[in-house]
Amino acid sequence: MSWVTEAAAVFVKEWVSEWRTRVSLSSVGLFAACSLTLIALALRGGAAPGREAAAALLWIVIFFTAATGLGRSFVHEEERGTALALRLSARATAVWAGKYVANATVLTLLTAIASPMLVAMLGIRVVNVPLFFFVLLLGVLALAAVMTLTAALVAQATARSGLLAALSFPVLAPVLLAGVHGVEAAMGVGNLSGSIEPGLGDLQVLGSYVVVAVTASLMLFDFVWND
Amino acid sequence: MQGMMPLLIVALLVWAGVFLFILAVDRRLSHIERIVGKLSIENDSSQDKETGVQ
Amino acid sequence: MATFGKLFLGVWIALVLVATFLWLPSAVPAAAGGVFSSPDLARIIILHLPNSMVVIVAAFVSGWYALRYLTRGRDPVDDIRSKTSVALAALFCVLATVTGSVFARVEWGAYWNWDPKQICIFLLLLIYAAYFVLRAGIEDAEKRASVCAVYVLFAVVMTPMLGYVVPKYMATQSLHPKNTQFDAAYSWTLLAAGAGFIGLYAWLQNIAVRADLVRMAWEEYQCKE
Repeated sequence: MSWVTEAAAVFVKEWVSEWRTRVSLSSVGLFAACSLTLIALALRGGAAPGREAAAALLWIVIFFTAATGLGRSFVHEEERGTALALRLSARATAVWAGKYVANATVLTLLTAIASPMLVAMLGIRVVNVPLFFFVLLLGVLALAAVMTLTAALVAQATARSGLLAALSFPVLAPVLLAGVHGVEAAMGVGNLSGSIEPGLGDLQVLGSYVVVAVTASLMLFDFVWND
Repeated sequence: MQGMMPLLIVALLVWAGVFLFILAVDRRLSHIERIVGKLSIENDSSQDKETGVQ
Repeated sequence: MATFGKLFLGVWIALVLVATFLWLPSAVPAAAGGVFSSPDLARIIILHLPNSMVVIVAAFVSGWYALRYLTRGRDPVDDIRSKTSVALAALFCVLATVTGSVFARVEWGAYWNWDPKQICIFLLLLIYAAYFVLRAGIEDAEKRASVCAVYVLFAVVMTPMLGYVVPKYMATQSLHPKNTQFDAAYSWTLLAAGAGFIGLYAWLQNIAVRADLVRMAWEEYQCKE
């Protein structure tokens, strides 16, 4: 089998097993719904926060939802003992790539639903929709890359809850900085004309981060996987 | 320059304390290393004897 | 020879301290266009900057041994070397933060203001803390070693980006002076202090690795008993 077929097979397997139980989709969805409701309750329908605070809230929801949802991706294999079969049937890099694409799609779906809801709830106008879209997309790709590798590390530990967020946050700091700044620019902070210019630097940072994170993960994953 | 003299003395005293502490830990560790080294050598040789008998 | 080296290190750092407090001139006072409100005490920099040098050295050393562990026959000693280096990097992170806070308080009246370098050092501390939580969470020694080695390597690859990205977004407010022009005297003393601190790190690393090896040998001995 070629590398691409293997990776595609892992991706399909992830989604088929996810579709049978819908555990991570529903837990991610519920977590996001809870945090959005909490924000709504905390604001009590009045006193809309500024755009800076809105951008920060959006990234807080995405980061912690990802940290709760993606932690499961390898725990699953270890618990049900399917890791060995997967080890035999696909190359480590292909396993990582398949899992990565699966995680990235879950996160993209979540963000596609949660971010318009949050923006509508807070009554904020996005002045540059393409910039908003691309900043979130690249940010989610970076989040998924780092968390797919750290999830493989966390799966080996006994106390898993919370560890994924602790391990990935300091590594993801550049993504969160660029992401918050880019979302602010898309919401019109210091960008009244709504041009894409102020966000171009953020897109560059996010894009190069994704490239570095994916390369590093592909090179390192083998060491935890085939152990 | 005069005003710096007390600070220098404090700094030197702190450094002397830290240095002597590390040196003491180092000495103590060498001592323990010798004991544990002797123990494991004895252990190894007794094992050798056993295997020799077998 | 080894004892001579240790005594030499002790004398060396003592000489650096003497040079710091007696030989170095005061910085340019604020009245004459300098950045320090207390120019006499600007010499704290000699005790502050080398800590960050040691953090960088220790971080790369831990990455190096993590790589060696993973690629060269999984030697447990390499895992120990990598771990102690991470611990020492964390220690010198704390030292850099404390000396920096004192420095900032004396010169600019604030202990902490989230400027880029402070954020970077704080994020490094978070990484080292997460590393030890991860380490404590895995019981099997070999699994723990390889998982931790992978995390260290990943962090070593990803953190240099912080140095570029954080200042880009947080440049508006910085306590760290930009483009500082050091006198020749300051440069030389900083260099000497850096060498001394790195020597100190090497000594501590040696002690910590030996302590772990003794502990391993002792546990092995007890198992055989």
